[in-house]
Amino acid sequence: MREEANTGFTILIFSNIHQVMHAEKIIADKGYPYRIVPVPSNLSSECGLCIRIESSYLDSILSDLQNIKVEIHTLNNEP
Amino acid sequence: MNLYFDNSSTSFPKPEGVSQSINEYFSHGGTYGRAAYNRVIEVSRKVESTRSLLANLIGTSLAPNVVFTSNATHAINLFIRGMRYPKKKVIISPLEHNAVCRPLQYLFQTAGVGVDTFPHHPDGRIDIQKAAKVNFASYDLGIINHVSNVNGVIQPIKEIKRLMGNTPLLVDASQSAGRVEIRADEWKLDALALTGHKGIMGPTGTGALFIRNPDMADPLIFGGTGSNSESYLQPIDLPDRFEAGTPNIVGIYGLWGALSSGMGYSFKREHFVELLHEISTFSSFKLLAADDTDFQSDVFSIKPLGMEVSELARILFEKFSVETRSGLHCAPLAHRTLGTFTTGAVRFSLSKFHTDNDLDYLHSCLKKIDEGRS
Repeated sequence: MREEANTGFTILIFSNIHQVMHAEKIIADKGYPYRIVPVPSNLSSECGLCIRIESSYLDSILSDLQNIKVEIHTLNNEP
Repeated sequence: MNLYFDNSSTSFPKPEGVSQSINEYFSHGGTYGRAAYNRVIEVSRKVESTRSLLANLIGTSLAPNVVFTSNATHAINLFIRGMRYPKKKVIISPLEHNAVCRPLQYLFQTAGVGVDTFPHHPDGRIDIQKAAKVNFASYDLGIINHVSNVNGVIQPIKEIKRLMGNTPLLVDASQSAGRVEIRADEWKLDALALTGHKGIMGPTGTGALFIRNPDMADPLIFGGTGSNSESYLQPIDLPDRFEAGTPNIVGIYGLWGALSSGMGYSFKREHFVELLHEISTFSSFKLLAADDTDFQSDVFSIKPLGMEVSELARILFEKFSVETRSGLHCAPLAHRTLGTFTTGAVRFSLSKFHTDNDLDYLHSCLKKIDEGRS
């Protein structure tokens, strides 16, 4: 597991559960800190789940996720 | 001793991991997606892990293009009935099952879709040399039963698809998945339907459709997916486009157990080929199998001469405890091709659990019946 940088959080929203699980596997395998959380209702009317990451790892994670379609939302407070 | 020779109907026994995995699900429960507590996350991981295992089994890197269905018939219907038919022509193998023939008959009656048959050898294997002269561009779709559920012939899918070019090909892998090699990407397959409870040895109620280009077919079922919930439109992304409603999670857990078992064959291939050769020498039976053993899977049938097929099945069970399936095997087209319509045949379908001793026992049973009649 990588060290937590505590630079705020970013929410990654995917098009469906398959993509969430696919992305989670990549993020977990690389050792980034993350949590699976409900999609915040202020961001989307979606009823499913999404991935919350440390904002400092965003660029690295996006690079690892390659072609996976993802919506990015930076949070001010922990949901 | 394993005397169950009806694995083309459904496999038995199952690998231990099937019931273990199902029990694991019942112990913790949870649905697929829709929420973000641990119970759901665990189930979602398992469902997606199973999808990846299936993609790996059929040789595709496109895991989201593998959509869960309740069986192969569901998968075939999803694709056949979801397609549009501007040319109104389909070409099929001569060994198709009613899972293909009946939806095509429906399309013939309701939409005027016509059906031709691939040129073939007497055992139903598609004749590659003659097929090279077919104008495939005049067809909307080709459909091929990869392994016959009657005589076990393995069709040369790779070569046929190469001849077909851009004309889409749907492979019915009901009998082949888990039994023979499938390379969906390498062979450039457009679609493939499979079931989880036969060669793969998972539970009934599981299956999948691989669809390379999702725009080729409209969904068969519309509804909730846990995604794009604000919209009344079915999502366009895979697998959600074709997976409305809660999936068969119990079945998918069992399927995961089967796919993870890593089980190999317990009998030797040459022993099986020798068994077929021996049966072909019995004067009381006509063997229904591939003319070339290179194209033979572990399914075959026999037609008793001068005896009803149901009578042979009864004797095999009552005197020898051998379980088989007699009749037409839901494949009247295949039996027409093989000259055994309308009586059918007695089918023997093996599994990875059979041993050389089981094959020897089957040989001795058939030999006794043959000697008693000659």
